[in-house]
Amino acid sequence: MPQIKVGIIGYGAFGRFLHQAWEKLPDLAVTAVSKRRLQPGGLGAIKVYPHWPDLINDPAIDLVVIATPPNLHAEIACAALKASKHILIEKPLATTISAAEQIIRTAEGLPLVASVNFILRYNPIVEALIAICHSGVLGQLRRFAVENYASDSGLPLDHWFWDQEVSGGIFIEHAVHFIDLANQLTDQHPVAVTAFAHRRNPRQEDQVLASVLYSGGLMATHYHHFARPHHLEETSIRLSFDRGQIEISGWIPLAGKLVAMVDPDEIGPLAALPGFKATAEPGHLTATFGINRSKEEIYADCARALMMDLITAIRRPGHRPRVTLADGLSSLLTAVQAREASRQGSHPVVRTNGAPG
Amino acid sequence: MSAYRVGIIGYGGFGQFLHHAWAGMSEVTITAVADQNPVNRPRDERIKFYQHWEELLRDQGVDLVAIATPPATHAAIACAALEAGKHVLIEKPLATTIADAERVVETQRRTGGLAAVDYMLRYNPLVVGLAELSREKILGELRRVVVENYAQDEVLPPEHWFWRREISGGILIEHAVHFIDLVHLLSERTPTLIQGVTHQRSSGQEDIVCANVVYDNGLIATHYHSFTRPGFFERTTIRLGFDLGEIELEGWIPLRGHLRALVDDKAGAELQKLPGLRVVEARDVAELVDESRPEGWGNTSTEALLSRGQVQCRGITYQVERQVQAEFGLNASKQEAYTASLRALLVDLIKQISDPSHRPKVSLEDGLKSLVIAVQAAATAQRSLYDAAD
Repeated sequence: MPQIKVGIIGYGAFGRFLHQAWEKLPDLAVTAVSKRRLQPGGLGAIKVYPHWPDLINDPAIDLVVIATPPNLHAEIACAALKASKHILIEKPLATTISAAEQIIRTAEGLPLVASVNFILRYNPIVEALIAICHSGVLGQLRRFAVENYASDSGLPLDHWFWDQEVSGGIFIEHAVHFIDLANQLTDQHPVAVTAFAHRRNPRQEDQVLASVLYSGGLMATHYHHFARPHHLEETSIRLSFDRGQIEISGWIPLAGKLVAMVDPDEIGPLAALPGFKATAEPGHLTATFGINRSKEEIYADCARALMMDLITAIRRPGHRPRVTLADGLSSLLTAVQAREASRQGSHPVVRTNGAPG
Repeated sequence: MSAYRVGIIGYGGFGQFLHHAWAGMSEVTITAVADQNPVNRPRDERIKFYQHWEELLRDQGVDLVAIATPPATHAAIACAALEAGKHVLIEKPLATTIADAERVVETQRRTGGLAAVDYMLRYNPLVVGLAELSREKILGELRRVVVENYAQDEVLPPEHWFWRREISGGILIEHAVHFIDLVHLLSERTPTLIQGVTHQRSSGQEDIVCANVVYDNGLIATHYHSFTRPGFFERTTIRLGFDLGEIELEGWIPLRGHLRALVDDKAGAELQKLPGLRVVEARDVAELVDESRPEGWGNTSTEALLSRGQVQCRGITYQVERQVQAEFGLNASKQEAYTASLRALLVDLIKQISDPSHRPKVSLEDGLKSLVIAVQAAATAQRSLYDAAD
C-alpha cells in the first residue's frame, strides 16, 4: 500500500516530537513541515514551507497535522479540508464554539478523515478504564477527580500559553484532554458547570478549577495548576464507583491502584489493566497496575497508535477514527462554559456581624 | 481543684460517645444527661437524667453543657445554657443558619460564658503539626486543599434526621464544616468565591455534595462528600498542595499520611513536627532530571539564570537542597485518636475557666466562620440543582 504523505503545520517542540514518534512507522512519511521562522540547516529531504497555505496546496500531501497554537486551528483545518486533505488537529479543536462548528460544517459530507489529538484515548490504561466503566463491574461511576499540578518552568511570561486570545486559557488548552476522558467514561451528559480561575498577575491565569455535574449524578472536578517546580509535577485521576475506587497517576497515565468489591469471577475487565497485580482480601480486592516503560515511550506509542488509526480510516472507508470532531466539540463546549463561569462566577462571601475579618 | 461538672444534652450515639471519651478524666465529672427518649437513660444511677433539656440547665450541679443534639436545635439550647450561666461546648455545626449562629455569638459576648464548637480535628497531633508547617510556610504557600470523603450510609436509614435539611442543614453544613474549618486552621487567607454543587438520589435524599472555595492569593479548596458507600469501604483523603510539596492525609480522623517535598536543611528539620515521620527517600535536587516536558513547551531561558539549588515556580525563587519522600502517622487506632482529641479539647476549654487569659485552640468565631462558607455553598448548590433541572 502506498505510504501516506504527512505535512506538519506548526513545527515547534511538539510538532518535532510527533515527527520523531512517527518516523518508526513504515506506513507514512512526513514530507513537509511549515514553520514561520526557519532554523538554519534545513531538514534534508523534507520540504519546509514558511507559509502554511503552501503546505496545504502541496499536491503530494495526504494528511495535514495541525500543531500550531490553538487559535489558528480552525482556519488551517478548514483550508486543509477544502484542499481535500485529511486532518489531525492538536487539541483543543478550536478556541471558540463557532470556530469549532465551522470545522465540523466544512468537514460534513467530505470523504476525508478528520480527528482531534486526544492522545490519552490510545493509552492502554485509559483503554482498559473505559471498558471497565462501561462493563458496570464496579457499579455506577460517581466521581471523576483530576488533580494536575504542572510545572511552569518552561513557560516564561511571553509564552503564548498565557495569552488567552491565542491559547484559550487553561480550561480550553489543557483541561479538554480530561473533559474528553470523563465524557468517554460515562453515557451521562453534563448538566451544570461551575468554575473558578486564579490569576497570579493580570497576565497569568495559573490555576483553574471546574466542577461538572452530569445527568446521572456523576460529579467531575478538573483542577489544573501551572505553578510547580518541575520536580513536583503531579497528575492524578481518581474514579470512584459504588463498588470500587481507581486512581491513576501521571498525565500520561503510567500506573495506578484500585480497590474493588467484586467476586473473583467478575474481575475480567479489571484484569485487562496492563500489569494488573491483585491481592484478594476478605470481601474485596486491592490491585496495582502499570506500564513498565518511560513516559516518553508511552507518549510516542500513543502518537503512533493514533496515527495508525487515522491511516486505517484513510485506507478503509467505513473505519471511523476513535476520536471524532464531535468529541472535540463536546469537550470544548464544557471547557468554554467553565471559562465563562470562572469569569462571571462571582459569589461574594456573605459577611456577618460576628465573622472576624 | 475540684473537677468541673459536665452535663450532656442529646444522649444518642454521639452523646454517649462523648461520655465514654470523657469518663475517667480527673478534670471533669459527667453529672447529668438529658434526652427526650427515656430509653437513653444512663445505667449509672449517680448521673441525673432529664427528659427535658431545660431541666438540665436549671441543675446547679452542672458547670458546662455539651450539646450533642441534632444541628437545628444547637442555637436555642446554647443560648439558653449561656443565659443560665453555663459554659457550653457545641457539637458542630454551630447552628444551621447564620442568624442562629450570630445569636449564639451575641449571647456568649453578653453573658461572658465560655463557648466553643467541637472542632476536635484541631486537637489531632497530625493536624497540629501540619498547621504549624503550613502557617510557617515551611513548604512555601498553600495553594490547594482537596477533601475527598466517601462515607457510608449503612447506618443512615432514609428516616434519619441526617437527610432532613431543616434539621441537619444538609451535608455541607452538617459535615463539611469540619474540613472548611481545617482549611482555616492551615491558612489565614480570606474567602472570595464560593460555589456548591449537589446531587439528590431519586428518593430526594441529598447524598453527594461538592463545594469549591477560592481564597485570596490563589488558595483553592474543594470539599467533596458522598454518603453512598458500604461501611467498610469508607475512605477520606485530604490533600494539601504547597508550592514546594504535597501532603496527603488518610482517614477522616487523620491517622497517617505521606508527603513529597523540596526542602533545605531547616525545612527538612521542621518536617519532624509531623508525628512518626519516616523519610523514605531523599535525593539531592542536582540529581533530579526534568521529566516534565515531553511536549517541550517554550524555552527555558529563565531557568538558565537559576543557580544550583534554586527552583522557581509562580515567579518565586526558592532555595532548596533535597527532594524528600516521607510517611508519618499516629501510633493509635481511630477510636483512640478520636477520644484523645475530644479529651484535649475539653481540657483546653476548661483551662480558660481558671485562667481567663488562656485562648483555646477553637472558638465560637471559628464555628461561625466555617458555617458562613457552608451556608453559602449550600445555597449556591441548591441553585445549581434548579439549573440542572431546567
